[in-house]
Amino acid sequence: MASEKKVVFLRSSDGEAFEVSEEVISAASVTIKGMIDEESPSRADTAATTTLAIPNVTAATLSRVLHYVNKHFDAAAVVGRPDDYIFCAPGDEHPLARFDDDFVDVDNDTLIDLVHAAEYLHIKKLFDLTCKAVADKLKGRTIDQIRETFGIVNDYTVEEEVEVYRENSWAF
Amino acid sequence: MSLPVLMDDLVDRIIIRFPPEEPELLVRASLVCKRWCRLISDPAFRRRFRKLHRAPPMLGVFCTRHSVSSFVPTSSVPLPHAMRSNWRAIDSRHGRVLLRSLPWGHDFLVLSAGNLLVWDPITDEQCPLPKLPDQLFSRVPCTWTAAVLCAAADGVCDHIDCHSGGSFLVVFMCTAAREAFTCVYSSETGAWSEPTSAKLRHAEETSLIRLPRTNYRQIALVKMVDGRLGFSGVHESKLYLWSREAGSEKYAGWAQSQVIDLETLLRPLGTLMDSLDVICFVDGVAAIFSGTDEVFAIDLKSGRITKIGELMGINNIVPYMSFYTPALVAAATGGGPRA
Repeated sequence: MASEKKVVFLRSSDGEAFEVSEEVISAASVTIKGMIDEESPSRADTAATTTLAIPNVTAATLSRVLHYVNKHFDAAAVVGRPDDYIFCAPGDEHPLARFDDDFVDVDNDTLIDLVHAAEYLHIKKLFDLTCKAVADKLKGRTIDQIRETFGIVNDYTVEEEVEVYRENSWAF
Repeated sequence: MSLPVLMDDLVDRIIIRFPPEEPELLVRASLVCKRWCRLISDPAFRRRFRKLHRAPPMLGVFCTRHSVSSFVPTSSVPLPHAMRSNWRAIDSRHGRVLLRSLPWGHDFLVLSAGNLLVWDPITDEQCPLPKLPDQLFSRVPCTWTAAVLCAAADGVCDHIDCHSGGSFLVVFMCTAAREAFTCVYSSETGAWSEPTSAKLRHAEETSLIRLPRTNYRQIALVKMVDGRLGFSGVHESKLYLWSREAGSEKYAGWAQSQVIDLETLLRPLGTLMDSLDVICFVDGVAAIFSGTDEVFAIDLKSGRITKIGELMGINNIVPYMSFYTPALVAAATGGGPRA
């Protein structure tokens, strides 16, 4: 009888294993749920715990991802607020909003690793959150700074640039 | 992990999350390089952008002062056709604005042919409506109101792009002492329907919805998150939201769903709390209030306040919601294939 919660181990690309509740990670990650479903016939009558290899994600990133997943997908830990809130006055925001803000308040490389991990593990909420955080970082930057951040070479001629400025003067 | 690798597969996913109320970000991003520009000017990207953000942002309000309706932006978007002299904005929904003409010395009640106009303020396309059936105005005094909406039901149409080319309805309603008349214009038939009437004080009260007894000077209708009808009003510096309970009969059926203390929210504005009234609710986006001497919008998600203008001389205010993703024609044609 499985009275205790089942756990699985996830092994990062650099070989570190992390324990997580099977129920929680299945709710969060489509990719891992798929792996567990594939494994399950063979483990139905064994007591052995499953270890899944996550070859695309490093230990540093995976531990962050699991921190997020445990916060957001553990039903016991999430305190919701009524869904019919129309007006969110300051201080009234979702209980996890603050956690999310802090979670993505990291340097560019860490954030982009999280984007990739969320995409690979297919964790939609985390993918949305991290992509939005990159977008927010770009918002405050000049065009030159964006090019520099992503190593993009400007392929516009001066005349072409002037034309875009002229057509959309309201945007500058 | 190098950043350019990210950009090859994910630039689209990131740019698409720029907030729709700041469309200048898309214009600026398109100047980063031609590849980004082609991506942003691709109609498929625009469609996905609108689908992802779902609710179109409030770009601003049409504010009528005396006989001029002008667009006051609450976003960074200056609409190209911002001012309409001798027209008053009455309503706006799904990207269209309903206007009525205000000719000098005209009988205020009677609407003749061409007095009502449906207008797309982004493309400047307009559709004058034919004359309303005469019997609507046979009982004076009457008051009237009208609304414009997409002809397709909410579940059928996502109302994202339907204002360019889709069909629309205009619902006109006037109330006299004991009777209310409703008449619907359909852009598909190009004609008004036969007016239907509802007696206000007698047996057939099926179309009447009674409100609970409250102390609000003014109320604004609200569409609740689940689509139910709601309304709001201000009393003693608090905003009250009521929602209609499901399955109710004639009388019962309103529940207070939320009370918001406006005092702390509005302290920076210095407006007197006892002069506060709610003008309208923009579903899920903002609420517009009038204070001591000015009109302002409060963002429902962030609580951010945007001043709209002085209250003096304002006849009415109609918020305008639409996606604004400007065409980048010159830049997008500058090399490489366009999707």
